[in-house]
Amino acid sequence: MKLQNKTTISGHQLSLALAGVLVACSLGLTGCSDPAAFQVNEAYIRAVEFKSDVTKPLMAETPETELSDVQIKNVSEVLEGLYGTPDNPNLPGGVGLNGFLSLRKLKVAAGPVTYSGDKDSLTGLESGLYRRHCAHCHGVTGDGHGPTAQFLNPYPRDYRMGQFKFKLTDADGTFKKPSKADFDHILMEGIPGTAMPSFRVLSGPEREAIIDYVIYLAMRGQTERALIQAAYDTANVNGEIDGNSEKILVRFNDDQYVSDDIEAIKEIVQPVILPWANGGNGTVQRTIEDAPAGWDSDESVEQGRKLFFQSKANCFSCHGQTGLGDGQTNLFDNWTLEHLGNEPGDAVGSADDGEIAGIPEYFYHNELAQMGVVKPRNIRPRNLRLGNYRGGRRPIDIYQRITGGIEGTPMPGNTKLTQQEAWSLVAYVMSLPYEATSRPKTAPSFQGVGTNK
Amino acid sequence: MKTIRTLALALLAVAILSSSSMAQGWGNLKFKFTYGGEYTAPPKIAVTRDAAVCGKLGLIDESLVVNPENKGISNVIVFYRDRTPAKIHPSYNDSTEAPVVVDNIKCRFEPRVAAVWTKRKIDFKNSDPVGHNVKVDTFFNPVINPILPAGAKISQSYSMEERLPTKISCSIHPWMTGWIVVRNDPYIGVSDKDGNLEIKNLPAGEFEFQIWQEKAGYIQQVTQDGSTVEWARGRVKIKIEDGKTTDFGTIVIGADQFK
Ligand code: HEC
Ligand code: HEC
Repeated sequence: MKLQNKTTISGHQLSLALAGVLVACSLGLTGCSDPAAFQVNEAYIRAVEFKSDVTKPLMAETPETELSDVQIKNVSEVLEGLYGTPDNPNLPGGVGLNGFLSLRKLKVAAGPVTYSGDKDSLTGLESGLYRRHCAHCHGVTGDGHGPTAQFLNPYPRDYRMGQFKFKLTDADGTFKKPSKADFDHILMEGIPGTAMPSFRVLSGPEREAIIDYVIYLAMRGQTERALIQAAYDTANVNGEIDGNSEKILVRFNDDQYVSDDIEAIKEIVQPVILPWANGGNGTVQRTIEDAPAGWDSDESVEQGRKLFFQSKANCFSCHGQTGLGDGQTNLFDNWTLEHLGNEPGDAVGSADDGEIAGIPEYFYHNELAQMGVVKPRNIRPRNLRLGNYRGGRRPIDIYQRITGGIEGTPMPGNTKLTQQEAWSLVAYVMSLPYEATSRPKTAPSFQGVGTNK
Repeated sequence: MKTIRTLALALLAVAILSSSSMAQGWGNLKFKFTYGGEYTAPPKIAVTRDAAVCGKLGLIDESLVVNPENKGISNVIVFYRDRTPAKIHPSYNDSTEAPVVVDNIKCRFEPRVAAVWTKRKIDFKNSDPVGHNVKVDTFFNPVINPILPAGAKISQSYSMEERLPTKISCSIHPWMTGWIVVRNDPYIGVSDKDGNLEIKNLPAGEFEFQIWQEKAGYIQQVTQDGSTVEWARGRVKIKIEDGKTTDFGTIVIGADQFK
């Protein structure tokens, strides 16, 4: 892919092309003036092209193998066949979705914002919900790159990686997909301390429609990534592939192959869909037993304080000696790491000194920014003295963060704590905002490893 | 008459013996990878965390490990990547019982590169007196990031194959990097400290393999028997011969590949 060559393929152009009718949108046909189109994930194409080749993104140089325009267009065509367009969503069949998402709900959440009381006859809901309430931050594509995104800290979530932070589904140390109930919790409460607002004003059915749509955008984004990987692999086959000189995934123009090719695509799509749709594998809400009596007693707080500094929990190494979040200040989250190199040490670096973990400032502006990548920033461990909990302030929420971790960030999960120990940490964390700063607790020395230096 | 018959029987027995031990449609594959440049000592790591423990270990950057004695390169990976799923030799079946182990020891991952057949579990353990976490950013499998207290172990299984080696890291000790190679078959080789690599009991036939090293990415150009060989995208079609070992001999990887 040429870096300068911004590839945005209009949904309309594609659906028409798919139907085999060549009508140029530039003729000004109805609907063609609508700018709503899903953006191609150029930054991911770049990451695949560079990272498969060398560990370090070779800045100004071109990678050994690039996806051709034909291949990129083919990926978009396949994607559109599976998921439709922002105005006319679709769902892939035969890949295990089994009614997990409702196309009807998607259709009301999708579409342009309407002010004419345009309502779906069955649901009674106005359409265009996502674009009205979410897109200016999360983008029409769900790439976290809406018009206001770059001014926010943290940045709005890019759904396309399929990773989410705050959920009650992570229990056994493996990050799972959030359940619809997790999304509803986020929509009801917002994410305090960030720009993500609460959407209590929306009705239950409206939130349900939007939740299906967010999951749809995440699945679509993950599918796009998997297709790009597959296209890249195909592009790299030495020599020609029989009957597929352009090395594309689906030969739409060739009756002889098209159905086989589509079958092959299903195998790529299924691993994306199943962790979402398969109730037994990811979308099950964890049940956390009630906190034991006395979990917030002074003794419990004291036990938690000790654990905070011990190897068993190790909280201080990131959150700092006094919980101010200053223990480790040069980490990156997964959404940022994707664009950095693979070398040891690239997981850390400072985004403030004009050089971002090996990416110079000018390169960011000239290349990455053009592909919709927000400017890399370090992720800071939370300042625990502020008492601001993004994933919810119920003790059970903190319990879940400590045991389950926060996906996409360096905050690890911990399955080694007993329930009682985990609750004592909750008690300690929740006591920190009230702990007198005049007697900041410092690290007791355990096994000689209680200090950083 | 009798002697001749015994002899014939004896010969037959030999033939049966040798066919059962070797010629059943399986062969081995061997490489030796060496560095084609001046040896330079790897850079030291600036230990910023848990210096009381990790600071005394003389940690070095292990993204390229060259043996100063024979220039052998460690941790070059060769794996089967043919479109035809590999036939699996019965000798591998026993290995599914035991997990692959990646230890957090001396403030580094041991081994740095671990081969994980999806039929096997992988245990991440911590033999250090300090706490670690292990962040595994798989692409097709769900990601994990567990805390590993001193002395702890967690067990993980992967159901899907990963196309590329997956990086593992520890956010508490940011210099710690390792790799796991998750594949649907056990035919994954990792070179040892002398650069030697052997994959045993591959199905006979011609298959595509991929050759990768973390600093170089795909190994694209090498010197074999004094002449330059191009391995586009690190891919090589290799013929595995029945009952034989296909030996690539010494493969020299130029210093420019690691720039
Ligand atoms: C004013 C900007 C803004 C608007 C409007 C907004 N969001 Fe967000 N959203 C954010 C930010 C910022 C985050 C990231 C917070 C973080 O990482 O802690 C976020 C995160 C999220 C997440 C991720 C939660 C997780 O657990 O990872 C979801 C889901 C989400 N938003 C859905 C929505 C939906 C649905 C709407 C519309 C109904 C919406 N957002 C509107 C800014 C916004
Ligand atoms: C490897 C670094 C690391 C370690 C170790 C770590 N944290 Fe965190 N923690 C983070 C980061 C980074 C965040 C911010 C994540 C985000 O973007 O929301 C965080 C967030 C949090 C939050 C905020 C949750 C919320 O809802 O806002 C709490 C509470 C927390 N950590 C407690 C702990 C406790 C208790 C421990 C020890 C058991 C611990 N952390 C260990 C890095 C770490």
